[in-house]
Amino acid sequence: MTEIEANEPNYEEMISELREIARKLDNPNTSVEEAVKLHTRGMELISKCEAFLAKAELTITEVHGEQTE
Amino acid sequence: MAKKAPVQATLSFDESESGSAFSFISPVKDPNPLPKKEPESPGIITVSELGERIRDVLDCELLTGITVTGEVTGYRPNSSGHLYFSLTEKGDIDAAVSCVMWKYAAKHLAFPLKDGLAVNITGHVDYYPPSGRMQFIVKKIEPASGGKTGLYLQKEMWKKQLEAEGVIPRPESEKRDPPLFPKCVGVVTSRTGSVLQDIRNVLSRRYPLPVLLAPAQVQGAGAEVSIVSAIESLQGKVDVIIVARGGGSFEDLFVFNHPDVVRAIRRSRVPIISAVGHETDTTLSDFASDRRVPTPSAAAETVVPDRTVLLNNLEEYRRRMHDRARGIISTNRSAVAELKMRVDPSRLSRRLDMMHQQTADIEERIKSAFSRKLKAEADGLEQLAERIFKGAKTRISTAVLELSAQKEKILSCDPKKPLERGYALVQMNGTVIRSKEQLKKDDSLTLCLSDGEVTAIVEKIS
Repeated sequence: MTEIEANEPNYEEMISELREIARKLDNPNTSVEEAVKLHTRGMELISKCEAFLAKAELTITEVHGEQTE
Repeated sequence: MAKKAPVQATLSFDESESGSAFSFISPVKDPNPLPKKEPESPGIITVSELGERIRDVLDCELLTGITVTGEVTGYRPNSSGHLYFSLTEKGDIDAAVSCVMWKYAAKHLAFPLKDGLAVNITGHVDYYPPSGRMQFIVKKIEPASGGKTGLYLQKEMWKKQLEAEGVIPRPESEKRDPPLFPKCVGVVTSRTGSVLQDIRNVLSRRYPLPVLLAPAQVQGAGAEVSIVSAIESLQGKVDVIIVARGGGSFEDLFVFNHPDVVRAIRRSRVPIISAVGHETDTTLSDFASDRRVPTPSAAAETVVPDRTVLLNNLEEYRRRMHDRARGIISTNRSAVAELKMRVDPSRLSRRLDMMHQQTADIEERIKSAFSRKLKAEADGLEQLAERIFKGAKTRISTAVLELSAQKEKILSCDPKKPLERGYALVQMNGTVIRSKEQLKKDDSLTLCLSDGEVTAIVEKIS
């Protein structure tokens, strides 16, 4: 590992979006169309987050490039 | 060395002074001093002469500008600012020397003096005849190299230096929180040893993620260079850095007090968690870091969330979103059902009938109200006409009466009316004559009677 890659999935951003979706769904004035869209997006994000956590693995690399495990 | 004038003193045996059998005591202030004692014979000297000789002997290269190492005991700071203590040595042969550090030198002391510290003192030996005391005049004190006390003093000196530079303590406002979900954690520690293993175990259990290890020598000569280099090498490559070392003695952890290490931690662009030693150990690095935790394991727990908790949270999100979405759909279904019922034809027919009925009722109410209004208006007009008629009638009667009265009044004022009762109106040339003074003899008068006029001539005025 050298630099943090900007395009990697950002768990924090996904959680932030999930919070916003949950907040909108809590609003009883949200339309059905919007609710369906939000629900679909929310389920997608949850799956992505779960997949992220499931496949997360520990790697230890030395700063000068040598991977120790 | 300044020479003191000889003073009178007595030589006595003083048991209160430990470590020396003889000492000079303060000058005797006898109210009836005896004449100065002269030597009884050649070869015998006075006490003051002995003092002078001692000072002469001490004023030599061997006893000036020297540095002596030993342990501070009997430390007595004076309120005047002078510091008094003894420098002692314990060993096969115990030894001690009384020391004084005058105020002007003491103000440059870089660390607090206390008993038990191992120090190197630099100065010269002096002898003070009035008290008969030999003492070491201290110009400078430095921590003795090696040993815990010396390191302690070194730490105190570095602490003062770093505080003066503003490196420590890191202000609360400048303490940065590590990201909630780091993508990569940097670790500065020994490649070998249990610290890395402890961190690895915690991260594996809680939140596995890439770890970038910057191996460093964490004790011994040159360790500070290694640690600084390791911290620098992780900049821009990780989200948070753990600087860790397992438990050890004060000396083992000492490098984490080194100014270079402390400065490197303070200037790090990445938040740094300090986990050096155990909970009771405190190094200067702790004061420069963004957060200090008691152990390397605690550091690992600090920098990452718990995956189990996160999964539970996600499950909670899933349940909540299902519930809310179902709720919204259910609410909307109910609304649709209600609308459907409301647009049902039979319901609409009933609605129309009801509307017809309502329309008829309203029409009837309008008609009835209009009729009542008309009648009220007619009644009002009739009453008004009656009032006008009565008013006019009353007014006419009043006018007739007033006219009759005026007529009577006018008639009573008719100048010819009295003529009917036999009076005559006398005029001359159109002027009514009211007095005989207006007349003279032979004037022609006109007499107006009720039925005509008569012309008369004045014959006599009496």
